[in-house]
Amino acid sequence: VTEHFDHLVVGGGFAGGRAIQALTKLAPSARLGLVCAEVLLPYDRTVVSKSLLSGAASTSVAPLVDYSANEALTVYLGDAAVGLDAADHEVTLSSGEKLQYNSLLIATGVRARRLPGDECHYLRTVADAVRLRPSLIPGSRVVIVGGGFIGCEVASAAAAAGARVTILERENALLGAFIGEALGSVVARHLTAQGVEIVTSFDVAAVVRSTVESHDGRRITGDAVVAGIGVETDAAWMPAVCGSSGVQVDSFCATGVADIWAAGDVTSWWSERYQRYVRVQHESSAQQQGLAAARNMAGRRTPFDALPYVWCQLNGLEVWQVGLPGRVAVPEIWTDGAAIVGVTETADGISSAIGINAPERLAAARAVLEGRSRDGLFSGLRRVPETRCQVVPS
Amino acid sequence: LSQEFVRVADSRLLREGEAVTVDANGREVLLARAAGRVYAVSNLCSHAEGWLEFGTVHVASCEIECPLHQGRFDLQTGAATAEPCIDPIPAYVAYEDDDGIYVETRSGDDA
Repeated sequence: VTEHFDHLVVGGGFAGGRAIQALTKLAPSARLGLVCAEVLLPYDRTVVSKSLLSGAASTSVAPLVDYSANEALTVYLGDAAVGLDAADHEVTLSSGEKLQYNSLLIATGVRARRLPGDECHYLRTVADAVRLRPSLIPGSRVVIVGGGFIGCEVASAAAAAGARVTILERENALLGAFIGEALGSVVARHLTAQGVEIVTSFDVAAVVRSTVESHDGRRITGDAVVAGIGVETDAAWMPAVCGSSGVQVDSFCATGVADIWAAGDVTSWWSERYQRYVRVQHESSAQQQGLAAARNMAGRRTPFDALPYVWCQLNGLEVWQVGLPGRVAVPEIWTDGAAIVGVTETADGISSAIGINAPERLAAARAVLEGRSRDGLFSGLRRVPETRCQVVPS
Repeated sequence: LSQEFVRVADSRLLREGEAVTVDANGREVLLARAAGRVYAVSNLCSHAEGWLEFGTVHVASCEIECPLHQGRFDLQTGAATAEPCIDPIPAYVAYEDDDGIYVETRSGDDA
């Protein structure tokens, strides 16, 4: 059977879900198709590492919007694209179904990078969270590989559930590559106070059963091992538009291949702001780019160049970062004892701003990154030497 | 600073509880109708630059909810009314008569 769509969206994450929402509004008479590899309609993926790991949370997740309201939308659940014929404008699904399109949006996202050995939990979908949850119980020993945003959130949730938690981080500090070692150590102290053990400079070689082995021969065993060590792209089904560094798109989400657009984590997008292709895998970019792509597909020419924005909730500590850190060097740190604000710098100036328990300074951070004003970001705070940032936010 | 009004839409374009975007002298403005009245605010959320046109109009409380992170703004004043939104968005004077919907255009500021 071959179906034909005006707009076909492949990928049921944030980008694809928002694109369908926007196309429903912008192209009300168009035939829309949505392909979701998961058996769920697009949902808020941030709950996977945030609220869903708490034992109190319901494991049912609501769709982003009421997709059933659009009768011109056909949804393929639990089916994934396995082939793309760009010349014939046709996508083949794993079920064998062939879908033809006038315009195609690729929003397939990324998958968790895997460790050698296969005894590990990864966290990308609701199903992943549901599998992990039974291990997050009092007394259970949970070993987390990777001290990035996901690793820190899982650690916080696991500790709150009463588990004994160890984070194994390859570098010298948690989140060091993102927010710098000094601010990373603020996060580390917060997690340590919740009972989380943090082991740095631990370079994982493999996971064998539930034992994590380092390259220098150390072994740490848990009842459950969770890895948050980055992501990788599934490019195999779409060689015409995708390489190992993602689907390259211009400022208007177009791939350069006729009638094919892309949005979300899978893309490497041209940024006028940075004058280079950038790859950002945070929810905010995925949502905005999905909406921007839909506007472009519907003929409303809309550039996408949003400031990267990530946030992280750690049981009493809330961290946000705006911008791209680049190589973190000479961070500035300001505080009043409760809120902490920092910036990372590169040779070109301030590259990102970070807030810890400082939600009211996010707009000021955007102003700084957009070169508008430095006022407001640090007002009422005092600068502290990077090496002496011993503040434990209240 | 001058203030004038430009006709941006036919009244039929905007149904109760809905939001649309229009061009008001080159500026993208969000129109929303709540309890019969027409409101005009910036289409861009102050928190993470989501397009409010894809959000939800809350008629009873006269708010627009951003689709991205569920923050809200007062449609009349542009004030942020629900976290994570904290900073206001520009609100514009709008009115409606038999000929359609009008929105103020301001020159001399970029609010």
